[in-house]
Amino acid sequence: MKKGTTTLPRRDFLKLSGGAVGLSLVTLNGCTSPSFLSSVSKGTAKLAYSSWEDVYTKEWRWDKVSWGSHNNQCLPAACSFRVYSKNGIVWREEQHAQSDASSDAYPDYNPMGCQKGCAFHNLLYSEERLRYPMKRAGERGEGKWQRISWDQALTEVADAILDAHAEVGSDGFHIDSPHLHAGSVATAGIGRLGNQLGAISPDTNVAIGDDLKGVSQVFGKMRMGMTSDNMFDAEILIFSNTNWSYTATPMYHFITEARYNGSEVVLVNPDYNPSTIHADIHVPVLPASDAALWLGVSQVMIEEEIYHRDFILEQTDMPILVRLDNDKFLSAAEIDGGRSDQLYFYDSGIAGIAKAPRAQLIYNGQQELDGRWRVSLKDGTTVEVETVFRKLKDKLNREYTPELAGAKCGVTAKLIRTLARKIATKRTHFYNGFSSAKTYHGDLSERATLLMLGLSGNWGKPGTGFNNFLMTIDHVGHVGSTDKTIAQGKMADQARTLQQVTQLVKSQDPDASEEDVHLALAVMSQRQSGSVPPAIWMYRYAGYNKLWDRKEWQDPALSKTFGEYLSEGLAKGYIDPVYQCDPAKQPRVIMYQCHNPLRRQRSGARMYIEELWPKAKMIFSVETRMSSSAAYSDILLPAAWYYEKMDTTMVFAHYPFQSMQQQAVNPPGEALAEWDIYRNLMAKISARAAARGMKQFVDRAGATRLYSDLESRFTINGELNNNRDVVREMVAYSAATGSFPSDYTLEKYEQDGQARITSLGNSTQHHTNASDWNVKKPNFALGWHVEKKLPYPTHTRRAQFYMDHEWFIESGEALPVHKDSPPVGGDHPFHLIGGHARISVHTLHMSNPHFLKLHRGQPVLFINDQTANEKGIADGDQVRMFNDYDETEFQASLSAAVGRDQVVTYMWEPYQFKNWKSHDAMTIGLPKPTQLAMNYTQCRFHSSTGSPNPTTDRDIQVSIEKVKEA
Amino acid sequence: MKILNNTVPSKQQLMASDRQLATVIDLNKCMGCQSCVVACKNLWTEREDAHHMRWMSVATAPGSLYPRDFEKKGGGYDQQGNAQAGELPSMVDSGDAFTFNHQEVLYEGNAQSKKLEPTSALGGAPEWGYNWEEDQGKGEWPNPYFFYMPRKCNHCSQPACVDACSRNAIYKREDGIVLIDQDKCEGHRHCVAACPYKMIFFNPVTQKSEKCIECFPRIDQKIASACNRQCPGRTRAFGFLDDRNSLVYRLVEEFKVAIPLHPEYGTTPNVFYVPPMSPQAFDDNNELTDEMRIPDSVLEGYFGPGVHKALAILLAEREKKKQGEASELMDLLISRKWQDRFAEFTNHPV
Repeated sequence: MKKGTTTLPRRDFLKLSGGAVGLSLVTLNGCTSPSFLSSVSKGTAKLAYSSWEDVYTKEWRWDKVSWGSHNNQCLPAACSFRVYSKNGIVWREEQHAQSDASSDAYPDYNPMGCQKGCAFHNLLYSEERLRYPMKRAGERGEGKWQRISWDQALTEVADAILDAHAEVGSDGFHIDSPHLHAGSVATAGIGRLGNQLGAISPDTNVAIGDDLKGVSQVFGKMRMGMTSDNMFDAEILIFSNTNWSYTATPMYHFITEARYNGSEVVLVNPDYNPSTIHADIHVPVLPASDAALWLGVSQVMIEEEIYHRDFILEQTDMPILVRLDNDKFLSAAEIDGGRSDQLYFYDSGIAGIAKAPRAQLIYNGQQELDGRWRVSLKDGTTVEVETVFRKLKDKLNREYTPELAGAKCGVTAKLIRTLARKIATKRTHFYNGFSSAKTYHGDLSERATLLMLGLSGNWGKPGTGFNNFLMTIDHVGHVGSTDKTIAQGKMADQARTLQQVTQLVKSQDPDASEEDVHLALAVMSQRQSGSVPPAIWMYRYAGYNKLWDRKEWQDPALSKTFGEYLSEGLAKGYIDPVYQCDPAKQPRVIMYQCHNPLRRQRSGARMYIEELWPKAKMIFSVETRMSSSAAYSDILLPAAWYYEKMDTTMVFAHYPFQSMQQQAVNPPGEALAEWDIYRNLMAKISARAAARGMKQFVDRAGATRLYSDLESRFTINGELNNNRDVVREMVAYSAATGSFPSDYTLEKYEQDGQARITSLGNSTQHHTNASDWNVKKPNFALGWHVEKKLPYPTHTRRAQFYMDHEWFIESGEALPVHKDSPPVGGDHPFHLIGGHARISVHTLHMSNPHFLKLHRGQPVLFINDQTANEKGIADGDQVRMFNDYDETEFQASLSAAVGRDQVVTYMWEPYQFKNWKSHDAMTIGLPKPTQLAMNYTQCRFHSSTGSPNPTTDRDIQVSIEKVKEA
Repeated sequence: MKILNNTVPSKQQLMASDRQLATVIDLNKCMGCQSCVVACKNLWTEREDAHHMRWMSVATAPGSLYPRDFEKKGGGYDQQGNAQAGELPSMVDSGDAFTFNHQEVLYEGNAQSKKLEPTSALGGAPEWGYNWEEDQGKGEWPNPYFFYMPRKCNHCSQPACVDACSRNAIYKREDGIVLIDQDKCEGHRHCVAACPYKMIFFNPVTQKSEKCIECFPRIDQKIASACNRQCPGRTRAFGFLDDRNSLVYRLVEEFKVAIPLHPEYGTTPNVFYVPPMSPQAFDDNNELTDEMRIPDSVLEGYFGPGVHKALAILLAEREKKKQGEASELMDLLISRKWQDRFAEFTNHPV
């Protein structure tokens, strides 16, 4: 159903009314109309042509105006919109634009909403929209479909899941990292479904690669953020690994307005990306060489003694002692038989070592920052120790003077010095996007970045910080896992659980902080949830061992392959066996919801098609649109999209509001809200199990579960029957935890359309952000550490730059260093970089004609114009891009904004490419095996973080050539 | 427009307006996101006969802009006020109207042998299209440069289109909005040729010319036009040019930092631009200089010699802020309260 073809379209309306009026006036009255003459004769000629003008005026009247938003998981994915519908069709949407500033001193948030939101309804009526349950009528991916009934579709899916249970166990049913795109209610729904059927699922956020490992290694946590107005307090704004004009469109004005307010804007990108046009300084680092840049900057700060000594003494591991003989921290286990995580300073006041505080950061002695001493161990031996700072200083002086660092990163020594002096003396805000998480050595780049921010005292204060993506979705998590509603007393249960976990954690470590307790709870929850590390899952089930164990592609500093690290990690207990992804239990049924692995999973277009999917007897997808991956399904279940179901958004700190989503119109055809689909599926599984004489199954934890009560457990005995019930429960949860005012209700929410969050609730993110939430001021992270001196949740209890895990030591990464990207996919002359597209969130909008007409309508590869000339490539030519593994074709777009040996592209739908093979097919996604050190405190695996990112694709080396015309 | 009794209105009458609505677009804020474009398109031209029209457009500058090479297609007036001949943009110049092959790719059993691709309205693969030169710009690495050029009808004070219309179908409302009477237009397209900005589009189905109507049904309800209100970059200011309290007045008349595009076209346009302060350029040794990287000549080519003074004012005022001093101009450009940008047009559209 294309808009304008099944109902009275606007064009026809114009033709019928405007056209007909025109005909009568022109033919009967020449060039003036009766109304025109009458108005001018009265001397009131205002709007004399009102007859025709009325055509435009009258066209825009509505049956209904509703609240809308989009759970796109862009930044911030919570913009409040008004949605205009007529005759059951959404015709347009417009920003609500009434989100006030924190105070008059700061810019407000209006009019929150970008091009994707302002044209979202165009997606509802496009040809790739799914409307009816369908079953494939040919081979997988052949594109032959048969419309079937919901009953048939659910029966076939239910039987397949029951078969998987019978043949493999509950973990024969895999839910492949569902994206939050489907919305809060759908995400909670698929969570409940997976929990109750004992399914396993690769952690979505890690599978996406939105996990900043280096940040976790330093701070012990990744989720920290700010409200956008914090940028207005900065004197320097640095953006790196990001392209805000594409990806944070509605908040971009905070940058340009901070610039007008006197802030200096610095963009660090290999290419002159489109956000750079509003910078003062572009730092054109070579691809994936940011670590060298920031280590050079750090060297200058130390060399010129402009670093913030008190800050690093108090907040970081710089004064902690490291043994020279084994490169490990000196611990109490070696000194007095105490804890292995009790570490030491050297105190010149007592001329000896002193225990570093663990419960807080304050030390009332004279700890030394720089030095080397001899220490006696309890076994009578003597070892030499030095501070982390000393180790770092020596390393920087040896390898990262501005001249040496500049040679590695392509930035002049002078500019490195300029940056160091500016940053050391000004309030500096650093925004780091997720491109570093998609770069093989991105963890090193993040550690180096945080090092220079620490040396300059730039976090935990207004206008400063290392900011990324603080997202709280606990209202979703609650509905996804709870067995009780708020009204039934869930909060009391939660408080009891927290108390028990607190006791447990404190019994193991009396110095544990509240933040440690919440992180321990997150680790336990993850363990029970069926979530597994995606890299391990892909290695075991999707054939990635064939790619990731190729020695010629790995970091030359490593002696072992990914698989060998995995085996060693399991053998040594670095990896919890619950996460091993038993090779004996291969997937039998794979479910998809808003996941397009042929694009998202690097080389998914090869490995999923060739290795993973052939193992599954059933692949079914709950989707709104036909993605390249959905096209490989056995059964397609059509889902309602935004505007077609009630929902609420998630919370992203940059825009501290939640937005209401009402059902403006019915979904097309037979599409249903995901919650309804899952509830019906649960009922169908019960019915089929009964018919097949199956009573119960044993879940992964060994517990027995009945098939008969699946639907009633899914809905908590009818309490959560539909989207409206679920949103009501989510509002109740937010009110109970303080994210909303305590008396807030669904009815009030529907009236207001959006609600400013009053706190981060009791979420883990509230603790990891570690700052009091203030609705009247800009918010920023890490205030509790800097102001209240609370410890960081790391091994050293401080912001930690030295990693003494044996794998970090053997790979030469105990300290942050620069390493070139490994030659994944072979040695080729061009560096591939890029990221999110401008007009699409992932591929959601990418295949829609409305959006496709905002650019060339086909995938383009940006190539430096001079380079292209040398290679005989003209703008608009088809070019072949290839490495040792695969190839793809693009149209060339020539630009000086791309470096000579770079090629840049953004996200496209695979079926826009020849053979449906996008560049993602050749990127391999080699995960960094040292990130399997999941036993190290800050490398733990919990919700949305930890374990290797299987998504490294920035700085892959490729070759290009012009496609010769046939 | 004031019309005397029982007469066919004169061109002077059709061009007259009591007041003049104006838009300011701040190029230091525009990120080329196309939100204004989709806002306009969904409101007025999302129909089969108008897919090629972008009443509101954003293109990467320098480049051939939109419609393609409009700067080379004539129209407007010379310095003596003589109308200049102009030529009509083609369908492709107007951005084309691609169609796509979803059915073939997804539902006809072709497996992976077909890809989703655009077909030109003229048939075959597109040769050019809307926003074809997105993010290309000019310059030489490491000093590439570009900025975004949002454009719509200028609702000129001396509208060449009104002058050129043989049907007297084009007129200015009393608020200065220029409209084409769709009842009277017979599609002769003299207006298209006469408009030096080529912001009038021919509808091949209705055989009439169409253009930006500045969302007058919204204006009549004191709601800012969609492109202005829906801009997430907060680039826009809107209001009457003689309203001394309006941001448009203050930026155009008082601080003189908002200037028209191609003032030499002689039509006295009423869309004004705050020119871009570009990043610092690198010298031959790759060291940072204090020079902005967009060449002065490029900016002067677009905005005339007035651009130098406008930029000098912007830089001087920003320097005050850098030094911790106050700057009323910078605060106006920031507009902490977004609605302050829209003068009296601050109603919300519900």
